[in-house]
Amino acid sequence: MRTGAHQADAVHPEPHVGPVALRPASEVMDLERLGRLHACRISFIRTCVRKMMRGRWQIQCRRFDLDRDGYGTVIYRVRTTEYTYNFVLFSQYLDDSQRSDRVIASAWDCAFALVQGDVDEERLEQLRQNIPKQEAGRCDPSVIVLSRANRSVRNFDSVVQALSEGRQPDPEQIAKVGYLYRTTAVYGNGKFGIADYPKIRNWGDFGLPFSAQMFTVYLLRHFSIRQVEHIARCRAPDTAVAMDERMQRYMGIGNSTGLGMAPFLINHPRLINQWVLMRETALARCLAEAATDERKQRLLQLLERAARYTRETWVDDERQARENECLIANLEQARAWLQQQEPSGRDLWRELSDHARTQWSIETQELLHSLIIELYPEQVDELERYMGASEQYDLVPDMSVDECIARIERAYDWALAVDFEDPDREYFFWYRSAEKEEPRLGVRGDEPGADREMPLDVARRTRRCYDRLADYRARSGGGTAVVEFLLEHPELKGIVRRIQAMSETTYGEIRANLLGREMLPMHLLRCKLSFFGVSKFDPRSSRWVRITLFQGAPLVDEIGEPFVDDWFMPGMPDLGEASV
Amino acid sequence: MRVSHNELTGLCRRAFEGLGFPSGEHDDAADMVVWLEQHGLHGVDQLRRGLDHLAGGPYARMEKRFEDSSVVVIDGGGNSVLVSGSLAVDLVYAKARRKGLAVVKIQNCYNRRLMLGYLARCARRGMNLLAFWRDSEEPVVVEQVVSIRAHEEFPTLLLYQIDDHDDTLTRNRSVTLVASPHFSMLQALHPDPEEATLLEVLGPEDFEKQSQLVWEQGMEVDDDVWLRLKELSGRTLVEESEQSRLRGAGEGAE
Repeated sequence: MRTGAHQADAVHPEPHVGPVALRPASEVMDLERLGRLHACRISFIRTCVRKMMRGRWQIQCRRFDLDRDGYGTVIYRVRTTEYTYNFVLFSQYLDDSQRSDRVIASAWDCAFALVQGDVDEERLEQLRQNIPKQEAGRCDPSVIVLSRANRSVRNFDSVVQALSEGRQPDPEQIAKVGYLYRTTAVYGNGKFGIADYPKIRNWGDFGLPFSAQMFTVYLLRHFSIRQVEHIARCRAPDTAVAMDERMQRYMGIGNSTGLGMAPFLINHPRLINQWVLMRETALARCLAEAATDERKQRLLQLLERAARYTRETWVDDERQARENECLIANLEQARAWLQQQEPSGRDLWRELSDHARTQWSIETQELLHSLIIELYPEQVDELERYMGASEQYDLVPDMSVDECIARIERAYDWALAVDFEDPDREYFFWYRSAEKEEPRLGVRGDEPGADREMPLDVARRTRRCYDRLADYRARSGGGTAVVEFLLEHPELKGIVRRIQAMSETTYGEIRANLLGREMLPMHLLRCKLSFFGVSKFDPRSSRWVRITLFQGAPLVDEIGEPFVDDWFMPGMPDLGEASV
Repeated sequence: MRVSHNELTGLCRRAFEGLGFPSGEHDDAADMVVWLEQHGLHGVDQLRRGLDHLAGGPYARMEKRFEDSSVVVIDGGGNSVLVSGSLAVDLVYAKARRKGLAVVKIQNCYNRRLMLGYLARCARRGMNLLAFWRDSEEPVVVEQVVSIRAHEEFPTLLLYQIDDHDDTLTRNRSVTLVASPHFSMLQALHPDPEEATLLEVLGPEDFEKQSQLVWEQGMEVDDDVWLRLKELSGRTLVEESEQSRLRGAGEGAE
């Protein structure tokens, strides 16, 4: 198992030089496309499961003190080859009227934390005083992840009811909502006093971005299953049954995500560049592979599985429903096309990708890419080590004004193309509400707060910077160091530094004017969530989405058994009469 | 209260934003405070002492008083170095990069020790740097010398006691920055005892040890300062309304 210093600080792989070039940023970083990405092999939950299964992590229940309604305390001890952790969960009664997915909520069905080291009674009491309070509590750096979750109103009671009556839950119902709990925030990196990311960045266990958070959610999934079984047993000890293992695997964890993700994406451009670069490197490597009949058959299976999974996905949102219908039809067409192809001696995957670009939806194109990436684990999996990036930017103060202008023209042409004279291009403004500092979106001129706008307007700030630089060059010459320009315009330091840094990356910025009237925040959310590895995108409006994690993932009891990393997009289990 | 590095950084950024620092400047100012705090030199306390003055804004812009190819004298406008001090370091960096050696002297400024973190950032980019200033803490004058070599992460800080009470350097509250990509200035650990007495040496290993401690234990910040920073950061927030609760976050957007 890998350990230590090569985690987040890993030297990036050599620049990609294979026969298939990386796709251009103009294509990949378009928000419409980023908003249609799907999970892939190097998404974080896939990496998390591989690490846990191959490292044979030991997860033991140390405490399961729940009353007949499932309220109480649960502790799971986790032993890896590196450290010992404890997952500590407090489950409590929550009135239906208080159950909210919003960050402004103040109480939840359960609250939990992943803690480094062992937890004695004194420590447990400290955690009990603080973890259920979440943002209002205080933690210390031994806490690595802090989170909370609410029961799925639709599923929880009916699953308990079914198990208590000796039945399995209805698979169709679980296909519609694939979880018992929905997390509403999963905090890492120093929030509310917990461990800063630099503390864990060189750990083999959790050095990769979001890996501790994903693992914590995985443990919640295990708890959720054990909790419903426990309540069912308490209610009807004579008739209750355990959940069928196939159904347990089909059970994921939900998550509800809103606009809070948008500032993260804009404020971590290096990280986003790195995630996209690794995904695109994986794709370019795989597209360059010579197809064989065996791999073609594997892709045909994956296409069928993806189509089935999408058919078994229910969404209310009309736009997403149309996208899914189109995706199902396109996947059938892709299967038909692929079946007719003779693989030997051809660049079959590249042909498929090119064919998709001209024939099928963007959603289909990107799902096909995710599936092609599945064909060559040996080419792809090492890239997971390079998903981290440091987000500190240093000004290059001696860069000439000429060079700065040239970089904007080269890397930010998309920003210069926006006509900010048109009021619709500045239609929205982003702000942070006094209510728990929740990020929100307002309409300029209609709503108060534009004077306290968050600086997510990369395109507009670039435009302003470009115009000022051009004026300055006319007066002072293009060879002048940019720091001289900034002494006149200190307000532009942030954007100049960003332009200098991001113009040196392959994928740079998300190419969208986030103030534009036509902008769909949902695309930002989905972009990030796809790298987490989520599925079943279920938009509830253009600004928040429910998704599912870990559906199909191996169970805690299966750690240590032979592992085939092929659990994603599971089909609805056929339990025969067990669920009747 | 005990806080994490990320919490303190985030709150300082928003507080500086609330004080009217522009984007970029508020990041650098926050990093300067947190760097000092993380490395055991009481950055938050330095900030606390400057907050009343900072809260009085608007801030006079730095003005160049003298400039040739490698020497610049700047009037700091009576501001904390948190206000554009980082740009002065960037200026000495740029000039040294172009001319081999540069000297920038900022007069009429305070909170000078807060520059340490930004000097360390510049050194990381291949610049040898030295900063020199004198504080008058009656009855003694303390000379502070910071040096850091190119590509190194941590500086060396030396404090000397000086007997010169009628010193221009002390009175005009200046800091002198010297930079060169080609050579570094070594510290004199055994100064002339008639001129100066060495009070304290903090070396790279001290800074590194202190920094590691913070990742393990967090940082202790005075409750009053924390609340003050919260209050300042609150200036960036928009008061809630039923409309913003529904439309702004998306629940009732469609």
